Amino acid sequence: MTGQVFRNGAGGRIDRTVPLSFTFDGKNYQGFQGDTLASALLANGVRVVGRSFKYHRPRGILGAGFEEPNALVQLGDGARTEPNTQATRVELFDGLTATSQNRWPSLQFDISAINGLFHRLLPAGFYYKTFMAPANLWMTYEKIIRRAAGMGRAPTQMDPDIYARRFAHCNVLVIGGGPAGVSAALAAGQSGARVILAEDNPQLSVSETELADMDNVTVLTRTMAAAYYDHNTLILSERIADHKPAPAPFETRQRMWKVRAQQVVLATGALERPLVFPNNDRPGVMLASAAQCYAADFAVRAGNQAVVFTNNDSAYGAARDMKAAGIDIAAIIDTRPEISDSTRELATNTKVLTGHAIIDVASGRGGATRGVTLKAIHPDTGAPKGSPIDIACDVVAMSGGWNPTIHLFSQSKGKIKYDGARAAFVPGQSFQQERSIGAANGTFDHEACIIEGHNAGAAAARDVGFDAPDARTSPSGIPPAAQPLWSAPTGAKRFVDFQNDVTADDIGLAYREGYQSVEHLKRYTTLGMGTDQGRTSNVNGLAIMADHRRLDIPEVGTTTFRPPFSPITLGGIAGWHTGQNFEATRQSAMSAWHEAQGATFSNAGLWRRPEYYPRTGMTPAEAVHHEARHVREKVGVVDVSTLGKIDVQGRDALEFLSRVYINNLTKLPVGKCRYGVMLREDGFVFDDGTITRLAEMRFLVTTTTTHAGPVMTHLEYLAQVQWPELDVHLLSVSEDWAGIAIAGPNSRTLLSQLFQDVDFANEAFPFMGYRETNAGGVPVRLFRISFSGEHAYELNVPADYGLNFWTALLETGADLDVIPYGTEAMNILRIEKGHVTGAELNGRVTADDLGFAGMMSKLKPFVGQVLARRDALTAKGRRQLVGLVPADGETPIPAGAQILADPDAPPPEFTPAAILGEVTSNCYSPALGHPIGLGLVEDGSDRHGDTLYAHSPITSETVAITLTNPVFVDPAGGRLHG
Amino acid sequence: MVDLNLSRSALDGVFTQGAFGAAGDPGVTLSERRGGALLDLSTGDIDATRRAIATQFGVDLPTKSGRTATGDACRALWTGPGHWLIKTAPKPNLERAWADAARNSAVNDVTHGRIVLRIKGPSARDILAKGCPLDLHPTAFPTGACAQSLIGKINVTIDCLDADEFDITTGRAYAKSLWAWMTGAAAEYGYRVE
Repeated sequence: MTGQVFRNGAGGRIDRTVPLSFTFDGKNYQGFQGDTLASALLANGVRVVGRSFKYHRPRGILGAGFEEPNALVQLGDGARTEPNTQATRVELFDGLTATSQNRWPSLQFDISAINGLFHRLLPAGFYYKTFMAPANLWMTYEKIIRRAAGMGRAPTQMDPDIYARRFAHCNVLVIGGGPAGVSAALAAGQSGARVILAEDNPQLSVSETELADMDNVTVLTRTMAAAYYDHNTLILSERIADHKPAPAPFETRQRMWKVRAQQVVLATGALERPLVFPNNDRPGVMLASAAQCYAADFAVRAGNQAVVFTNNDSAYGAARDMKAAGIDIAAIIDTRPEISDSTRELATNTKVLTGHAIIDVASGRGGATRGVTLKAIHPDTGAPKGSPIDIACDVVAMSGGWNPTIHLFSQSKGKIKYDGARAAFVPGQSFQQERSIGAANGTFDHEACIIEGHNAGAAAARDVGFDAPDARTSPSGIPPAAQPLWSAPTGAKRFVDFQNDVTADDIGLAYREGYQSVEHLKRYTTLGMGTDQGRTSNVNGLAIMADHRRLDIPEVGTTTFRPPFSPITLGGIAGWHTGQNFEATRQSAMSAWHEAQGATFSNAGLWRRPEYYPRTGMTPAEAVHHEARHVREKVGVVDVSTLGKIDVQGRDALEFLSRVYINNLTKLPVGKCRYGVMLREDGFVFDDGTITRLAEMRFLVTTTTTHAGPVMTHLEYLAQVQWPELDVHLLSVSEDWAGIAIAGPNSRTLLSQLFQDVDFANEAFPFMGYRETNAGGVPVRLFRISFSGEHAYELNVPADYGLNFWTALLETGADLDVIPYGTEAMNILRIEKGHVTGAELNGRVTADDLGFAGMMSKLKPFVGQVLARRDALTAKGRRQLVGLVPADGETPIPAGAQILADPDAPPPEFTPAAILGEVTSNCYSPALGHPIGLGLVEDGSDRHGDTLYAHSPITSETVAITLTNPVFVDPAGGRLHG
Repeated sequence: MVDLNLSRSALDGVFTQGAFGAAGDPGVTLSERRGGALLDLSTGDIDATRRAIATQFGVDLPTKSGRTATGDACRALWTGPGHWLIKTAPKPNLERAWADAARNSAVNDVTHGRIVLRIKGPSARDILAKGCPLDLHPTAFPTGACAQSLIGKINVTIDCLDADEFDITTGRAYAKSLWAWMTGAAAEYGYRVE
């Protein structure tokens, strides 16, 4: 078969002057501008488009839009390939390539189809039953199931396209560009309200020039409303370039809209239900509305000869349109014993068999439909009776009634209710500022939809203060179309969920095995768990379960609708934030210099900090040790700009800080610093840093790099909520000042050369002193503080000058052998000095645990003071800070190791009580020439000299360690003070 | 010897002038604003501080949230109750001069801690809406409005100077990330860098 033999010469919304070439499974086909992939495949007579998930049965196109469960294809190839795409929603473009899924080695011959022959081995709940003993077999099953399941391939290359997010706000958001939605947008737009109208299709269903002319109305086509969250926040996914071979240069492929709307109008339409009958999944069996859509919108005949199978009136209109497109309607089979005269009039000159049902579908070449078998059915029980009738056909157009598309309504937390007359769930009480209209509200009459839309759009605008057009009167007395639910009571495979291969018998099995709640039914059978979220299957499945349980459908209930309404791309969700843009980074004034020196970087919060500077002829470890040794012997500079800095001012600044820190600060004079510790309310250590008194009523406090944000939040909370009566002003100035620490025996000489007007003599500028000066017109803050344990200073200058001072220090200090050092060496130096950092301040330690008990003032109250006195925080047996050295003087102490008394004890992960503590920090000490560490050990302060064992549960190493004073270098502090 | 007083932008070497992104008329012009001074002013005595500042610096500090006020030589952005960001010309001892005027207040010269980017052009609001969750429609965010918000997850202060002209202030350390975001977001509209 070649060419578009199922395409009519006229009609439809396609542009025959723009022919398009595409391939499906490697074969070339032609379509037209305006086609979907599905309509083009049907035009070319392609009937089988995929294999089913579990049984690998051949499947054809069932629907024409969102509802499609079968025609899932892999689009494109290489970096732009995309799996599980509904062919019914893919706009055709020239050069499109698509391949079918769930088949191996080919669509025509699929090895796994043998599952269909042994389907009794793959019943509902098969997945869960494989969990049963023997348990280890699950591993085997799982691999086979995964491979057989297919479901397309994820791309393995980086996505080359650009995705964007977009925030938007409006007075009225209308979802759905059908007659009701357009009418609502128009009425709201006429009031002057800011309106957004979103429609998934490439164009609105009615062309509306007035709408396009309104500046206050934004019409978004190719835009799906994916989610409806609290506060009328909706997520819309706009496909800007998906209908092109590739986006234009700099063009965004998809835009994810996050819309906050004061009012929402849902005009999301309705989706047709399939009927449940034996072999209802044969290619050629499709929804009547889909066959109608292909005929009317695309001028495509779904086949040559059709049987229409229905339980309601809507399929008669479909039959009329199919006939008009040239499809021979062999018969309309109606399960109802009687139909109205007006309905019968729609089918003039067409054979109508009421009180009949299809009891089987025969398949021919490739599995496609070649005929149906009918029987009369009992009007009450639905049981087939009498003799079978065979009718030849290649299309079965079925209609089981209509489900309003209530997914977004349900996501909005609106209460859905069951409408017996329509045999469908419809919107009930709204939970947010929302209105459902048109078919989404169970209104199926065209004129009534337009009026309902107008009234809802106007009312929504009026509710937010706009002068909206008057309401129109709805034609009254239009009865809802009767749509009784119906499913064949028995027979071969009667599919309910096409995508997940769930049959009516599977639901029966779930019922018999006790999985009767809808939520259990869903998990046990996987009903409704496909990418289509059961759009065609849920209500039929509920009806069958209700029948088994002899309950009404509302009593059975329904599962929860969850976002997204239909799958959206991860690219759209990520937007800009991928790769190096995943998170913002913070860089100091000296970052570019560090990069130019080839430093490696590590992250501290969002900051990027240099770890070490590579040196020719040295390994990374040797370079780090060189830096650390050099600081102890000569002088080094390190970028400490990342430390948190908070400016504290006000008449009550001192009182405020006294309440925040455990230290007594009343005697802190202007021009001096103090090391301070703050606790959380619960008495554990929160953070540490320095407090410097810049002026009588002005302080600068520093925090650790990663705690800068939390400490600022903590202080703001205390100032604003707990003690609003205090006159205190807080401002984070972390980024205003570049910070450089200058450490080592030569640091004083180096600074004396750079700042000649400052007296660096010990008496004039002692340890923990603070001085301000001016260098070359730049204000400079100098602090004599030390993290390394060496004679050291920290220098702060306004950030734009930071790099100048960094280079000036290196140039001035060249004769003194100054070098830059990174965070690795800094860490070694502070471990050697026994200074704690984030590794020790882990949220579980008290000030006493760290040896800071003496700093806790007894003369004033401070945050955490009361709860720090709790028994558990003061009792014997708490883990206290200790130094660790390997007993043999050379074996490295494993990182993160557990500390045990008995090296031969069972693995500590199974005997938590045997763990006496943990290694918190470890390194090789260049100053001492052997490995050292810090740890927290039960009653560690009393155990100096004891030998214990550090056991790593990860590497299984066990190393004998001796506990020591945590200060390894200069315990007397001579270097600091000298 | 290094010139210690050479002021270096956080965006030194990051951008070059010219036209970038989609072809055609650029949707916006992007530039870094250098040479101004920024002060953070916080007070517990709003009335007295407003009187003093109006007398000495000629600007009526706004008291309404999200509003700005422009004086003879400075512009004040409301950033909180009794809290303003002041944009003015740099002067020696600027911080001291304001602190002396606004007694019982805290003043910090934050010129070095922030960077200011200007975005101007017909696509400016569309670009900002790609990363800022606020309602930036001209009716909701008119000329003279200001807001503290996020752009691309980065804290910013947005100052609406004119219908399609905005100054975006952020922390100095975020300068490169914000610049990358701005140029990335502007690429589909085309942009000029000045």
